[in-house]
Amino acid sequence: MAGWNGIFFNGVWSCGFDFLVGTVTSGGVVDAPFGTVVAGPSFARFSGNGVNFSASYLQRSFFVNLPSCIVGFAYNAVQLPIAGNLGIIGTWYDVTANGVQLTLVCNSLGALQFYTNGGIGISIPSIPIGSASPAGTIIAGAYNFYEVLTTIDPLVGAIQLRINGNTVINFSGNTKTTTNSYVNQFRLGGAGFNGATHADDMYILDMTGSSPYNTFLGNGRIQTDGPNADSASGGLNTWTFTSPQGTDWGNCANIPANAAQFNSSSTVNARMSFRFPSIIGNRVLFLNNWYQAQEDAAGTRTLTTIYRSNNVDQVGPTPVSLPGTPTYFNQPSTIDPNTGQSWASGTVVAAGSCEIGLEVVS
Amino acid sequence: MANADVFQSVREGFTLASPNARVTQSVRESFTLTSPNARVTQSVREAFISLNTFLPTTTTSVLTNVDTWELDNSPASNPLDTGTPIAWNENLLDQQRFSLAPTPANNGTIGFLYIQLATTLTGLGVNFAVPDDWTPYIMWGALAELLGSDGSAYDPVRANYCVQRYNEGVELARLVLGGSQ
Repeated sequence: MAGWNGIFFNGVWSCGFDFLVGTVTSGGVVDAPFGTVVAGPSFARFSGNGVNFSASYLQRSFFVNLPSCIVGFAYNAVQLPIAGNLGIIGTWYDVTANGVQLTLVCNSLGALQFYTNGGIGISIPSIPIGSASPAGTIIAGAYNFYEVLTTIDPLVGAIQLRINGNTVINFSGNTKTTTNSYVNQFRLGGAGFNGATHADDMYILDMTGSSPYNTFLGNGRIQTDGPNADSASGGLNTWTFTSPQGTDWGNCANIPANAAQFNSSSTVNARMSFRFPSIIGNRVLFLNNWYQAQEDAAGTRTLTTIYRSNNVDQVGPTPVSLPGTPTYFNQPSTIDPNTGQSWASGTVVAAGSCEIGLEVVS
Repeated sequence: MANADVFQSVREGFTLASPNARVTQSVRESFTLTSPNARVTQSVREAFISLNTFLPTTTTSVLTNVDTWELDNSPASNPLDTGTPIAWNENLLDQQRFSLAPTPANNGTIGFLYIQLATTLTGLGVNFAVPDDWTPYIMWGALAELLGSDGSAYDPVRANYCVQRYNEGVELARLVLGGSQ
């Protein structure tokens, strides 16, 4: 399936939390957090920002029912649970039935285990499913990259957990707890650890994307950059900007966003297109444009994201109707418009050279 | 004659009233559509980068051995060209050196099939478990193998002679010493 499917575009959703600073609120990135979740550089896995949980969790509704999905994220338990306790890492939730399908927990020995009940980020589950991973699978104070494939089904359900690319849990059988054979929400974090936990570099696949976006992406990280220059093509930056930034790309590069420094336009087809810093790495799987926008008066104003690779544009496809308060939106890109192939099959240089910007559609 | 006494004479005139319009306020309402600005306060790029070593697809091709005359006189050959090599050359170069044509434009890996130099002889010799008079036949056997193997030294006629001399030594050992091959 191509295009939008709930929060997924071409099967992909991601958030590296780097553009968030301070207490995380809803604002369009996630649902309202439970408890206090803070974003900051001291919680980051490599650079940028990570998020900190203190018996709290982030909640991301899918707005689509998924029988299967893959959730990937980096997670660091500053301290493991005390003996007898279980630390909740993630919860796969059925909003329709208001119940937990699966919970991933960690015990005091660093073994990981799935449970079929409890969780909800704070409740300690009690019914295990499948076998636990070996003790010492994770250690305190270190980031590991988790990837979890879940299929909710009473007969042919499946759970596969990979840590840093290595499979540590592989279960087949009954994975269904509620009356529905799907999940439509994921909760990252929870209580039970003997201290705070951190998370970073999150992605979710709805399993409808084309290869390679319908299987494990592997151990990866999310590099977040603000723009550093206007488009290489003249005439592609027609928005007006406030001072003192002095440049339209400068306003868009603010992390965190600054309500007093913004780009503004009511002109249909007004466009801004920016260049970004080079990407360092071996392989880029996909790109995702996160932006914060609003309309400043009553009425209707819509925007769309445009990816521009080697002077070839990839538009939208769906314009976003802006609310009256600053809200985050995102538009992933899995295909290089210049080649028509996935970014994963191309070069890092091509992905890094892609310009990204917004256009007023109506 | 009596006089008409007029005590009052009034005139009634029936006229239509003509009221004034009295205006205490007059305002204008105009209904217009508002035209909000789109306001963008942040726009960032996320890139999901694999931490696994990613090896791009590679192609392997056999290089043709050419000499300098062919390189100099080939119409398609230009010493300033760069690209994917299609030929290699070793003549007129120092030992253990070879060149590629055209000059590689990108990094690559060369697969080189070669025969490693033998261990340097020390002159101390090797003890054979054969009588001294039969040691020359070991030489004939070694020559037969060298001259009969693929390579620039391949010479089947001389290899056949060496095989005959080697077999002669084996037969003599059997007859004289009761030995075997």
